[in-house]
Amino acid sequence: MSRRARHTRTQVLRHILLSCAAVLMLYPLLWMIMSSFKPDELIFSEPAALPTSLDLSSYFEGWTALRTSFTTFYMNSFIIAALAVIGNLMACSLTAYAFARLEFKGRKIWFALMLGTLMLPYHVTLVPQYVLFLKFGWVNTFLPLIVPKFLAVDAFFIFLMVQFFRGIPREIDEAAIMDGCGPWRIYWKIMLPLSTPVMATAAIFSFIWTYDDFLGPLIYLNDIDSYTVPLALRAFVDSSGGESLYGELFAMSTLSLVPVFIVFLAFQRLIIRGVALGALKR
Amino acid sequence: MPSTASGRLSRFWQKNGAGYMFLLPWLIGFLGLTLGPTLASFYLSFTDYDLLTSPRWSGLKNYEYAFLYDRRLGNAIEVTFTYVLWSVPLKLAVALGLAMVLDRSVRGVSFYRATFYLPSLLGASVAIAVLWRQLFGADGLVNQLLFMVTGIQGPAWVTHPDYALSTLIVLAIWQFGSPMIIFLAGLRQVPQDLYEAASMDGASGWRQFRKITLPLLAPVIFFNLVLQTIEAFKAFTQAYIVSGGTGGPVDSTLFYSLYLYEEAFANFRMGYASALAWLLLVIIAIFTAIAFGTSKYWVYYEDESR
Amino acid sequence: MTIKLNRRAFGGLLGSTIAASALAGHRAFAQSGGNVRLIWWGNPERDKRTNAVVDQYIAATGAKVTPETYAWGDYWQKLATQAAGGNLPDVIQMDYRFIFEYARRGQLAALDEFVGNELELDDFDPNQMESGRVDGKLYGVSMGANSMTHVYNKTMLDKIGFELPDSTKWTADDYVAIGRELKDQLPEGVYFSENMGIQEPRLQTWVRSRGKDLYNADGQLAFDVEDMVDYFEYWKMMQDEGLTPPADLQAQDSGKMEERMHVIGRSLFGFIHSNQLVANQNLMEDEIEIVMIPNAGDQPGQYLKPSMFLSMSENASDKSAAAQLLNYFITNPDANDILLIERGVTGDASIRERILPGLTETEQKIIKYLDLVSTWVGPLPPPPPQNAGEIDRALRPAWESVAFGQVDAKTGATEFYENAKRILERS
Repeated sequence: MSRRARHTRTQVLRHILLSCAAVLMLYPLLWMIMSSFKPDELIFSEPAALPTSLDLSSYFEGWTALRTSFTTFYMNSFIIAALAVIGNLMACSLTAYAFARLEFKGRKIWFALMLGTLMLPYHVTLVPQYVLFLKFGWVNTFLPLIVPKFLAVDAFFIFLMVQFFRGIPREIDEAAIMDGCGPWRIYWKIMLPLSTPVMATAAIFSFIWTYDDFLGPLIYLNDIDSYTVPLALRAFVDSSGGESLYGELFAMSTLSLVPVFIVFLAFQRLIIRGVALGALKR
Repeated sequence: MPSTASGRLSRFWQKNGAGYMFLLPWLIGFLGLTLGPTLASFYLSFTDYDLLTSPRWSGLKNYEYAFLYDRRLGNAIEVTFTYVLWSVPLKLAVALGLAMVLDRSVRGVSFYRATFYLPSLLGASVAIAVLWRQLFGADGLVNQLLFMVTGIQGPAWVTHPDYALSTLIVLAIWQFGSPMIIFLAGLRQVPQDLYEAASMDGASGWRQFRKITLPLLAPVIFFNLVLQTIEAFKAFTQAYIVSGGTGGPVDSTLFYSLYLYEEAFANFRMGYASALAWLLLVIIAIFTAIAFGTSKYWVYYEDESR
Repeated sequence: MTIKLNRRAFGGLLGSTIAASALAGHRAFAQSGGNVRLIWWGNPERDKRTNAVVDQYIAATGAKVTPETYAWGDYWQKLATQAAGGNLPDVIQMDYRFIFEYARRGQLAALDEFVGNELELDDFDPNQMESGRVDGKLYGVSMGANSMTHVYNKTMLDKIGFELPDSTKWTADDYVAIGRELKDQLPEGVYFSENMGIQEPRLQTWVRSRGKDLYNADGQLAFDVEDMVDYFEYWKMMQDEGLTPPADLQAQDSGKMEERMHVIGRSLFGFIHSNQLVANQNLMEDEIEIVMIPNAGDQPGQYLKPSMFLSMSENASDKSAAAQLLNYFITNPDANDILLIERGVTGDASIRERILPGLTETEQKIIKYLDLVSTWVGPLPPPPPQNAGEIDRALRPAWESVAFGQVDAKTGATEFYENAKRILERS
């Protein structure tokens, strides 16, 4: 066998292997999506079949199956996620700038402590934070889910930004200092504009993580009108809605994945680079 | 030279003021939402506290109960360790395997990469957990396919104590995409000429893997290992949804986080829950210490000079 | 992404976002402005009826009401969180199990001051009213009486042509004997009985029929470990003989009505409370019927219990509005035309008179059943201790470890018993 032929064969084998893996990976998702277009009685009786027609009734019925409609749940989720993104971007970039560029006493200690919080499991702060927010009267509001983001509690983003800021040539801000720019101007006029990629990555991940967050809303939100989408889905599973709501459940589950999926399609490169970046720069 | 307190302060401020201004939001968050609560949690772990009445000092009672009497805790630790020790290595093995296949193939890499990564991105959501519950239910897709192919009637995976945890491990492995991306990036940095030279010397693929890929990738493997282990210890949502919030059947999916949540927010034993949190912190710290302690024997950084 | 911001804009943005989020949160913080939050645990049927009454109330009075509903298991967890947060809903469906705990912790409002004003309870049965009193004060108005019951698939049994014995007299042993007799005549995949190993109220009838109870007035266990062992051994034997479903099938029932074995057509018998008959029947094609629970001793195992109460939160912002809604549920004829006896048979005489004749056949069964039960009942047990809910939750894994064969019945029962004692000690 010639080398070329062998090469082609391994290539073909590779592609077969990869395609099989891809199908295996995506099949559960496809099943859920297909099921959401089927009448309930067909979901489990013909698991592999494509839906014969696009039956959208599960979507319409599912949307209002709980007493509060999913419009409210999506609104809540988007409000919280949007504010979390803004909070994370502002607070984390300020902090990162201080750590990456400014000289001040105690910087090393604070930086070490910040890195330490990366390793701290959330369980340790869970109860006291709950008590604190309870005392503030913030339970059953969005505040416990948003305010911490404005206080740069997600150290991962700080870390990511510090890495990025350090990669920006110092000559640029030294030149700016010569021109009489203070740290604020350097931060706004130089650092941030140059950091679009890392800011976008941070924005994407804080959106996805906040949107998917379950434990926080579970603990802090009581009133069904304040539920986020994950909580609503969970209420859907638990709701006493009758035995044959699988179609609706799958429809709403599928829909709930759409925002993350869109973000993924739109920013695929950034996301994948972000994941790799977090690891390799360490 | 007059060195008054206010003079010192103003000089301090001149030199360090800007830094602290930038640091302020984080500093408030760190002190108020991280350090403060961490200390508070330590204090609470020595009290009885049900939220409605103020905390009562109870000394070592919580820890005594945890170490001596709490069977569910023992079980939760066992479940969590089983989960961590199975899901992390398997996930990393799959991730590394596919990363290596992907690294070599030319066409369609970005498509495959995206496809494999997608579950990692979606996997944390409640929707996927809901899906998993149906997939592995008595009449779920898995059993249907199993029946079609082999004629065997599979068990109700999610409600059988022998299998429920494995469905969660499978769910974790399914999300191998993000370590895979990291491996891919790592593989890109392995100089190709090393492989070429090895091929010339007639080294087999396996030998190349052991002698070149593994050692050069060790820092990346180490990073993934630590990251995934910590993530696995923290797992909550998927077990909560798949078990309907109970950690059942027979506490077989009672993850540490789930048990802590239940003690805190269902039984309102905030003091005990805090003790549990500190125990977990110690467990994770030990794991991390072991990882870092042993890393010098198998992880070599290219720039050891730093 | 080039955001141009100066320091002032930055501060402004921060301020306004926090303000916006506070506002957004406050929309959820529905406590002020005459809005009454109503919460109940339920089932599809109850949710439908309760929501209809709420809509009717809103239409009739123009008041604002926010309803919330959960399944039983979640309900108490949510309620406890809300109590701790000081934002309990204004009108709360309460259970006998918890009313003492909530009342004594100061979470519930004493209703006495509203009686005769917002609350029109003149026609209300004083005995039923009494069950809602804690330390002499009224903390909940009973929504009806009910009792535990065995439900069975009548259509299926009739097809076999089997005649059940008088259920006031049958015993746990009779139950097994009937099961053995019927086992081979049941359709493929249908078991004689749901496995009730995890049913805490079923355990209660078991120990009460032996002259004991789950808890005494001091909040201690009032039965012996032997009773527990017998109970688990009994159900394990039923499972081993194939009279109840295998463990993994039974475990799929997470407590939701639509997952119960008899509802999904996998068992002939099941365990419910009498007021749940209507909701059960609505989920099923086959006709179902209720009978008394086979006794494990010579004392009556059953009792008539207040099915549930409506209570009011001590923190209710507008107590008068809350009392009005509460009253509407208890005394309004139109409301009760919808509610009927889904929550139990009401203590309001005039309402009872009004709705009884128009009841469906299924609902008549409940009335007949309660008449039957009242010929052979014990006294209302003392209110359960604070951690009874946790013990109830612990019964499930304990039984399942026996059912799945991880430990034998004796070990499982002993461990559960010890565990229950420890839970009580910890409170």
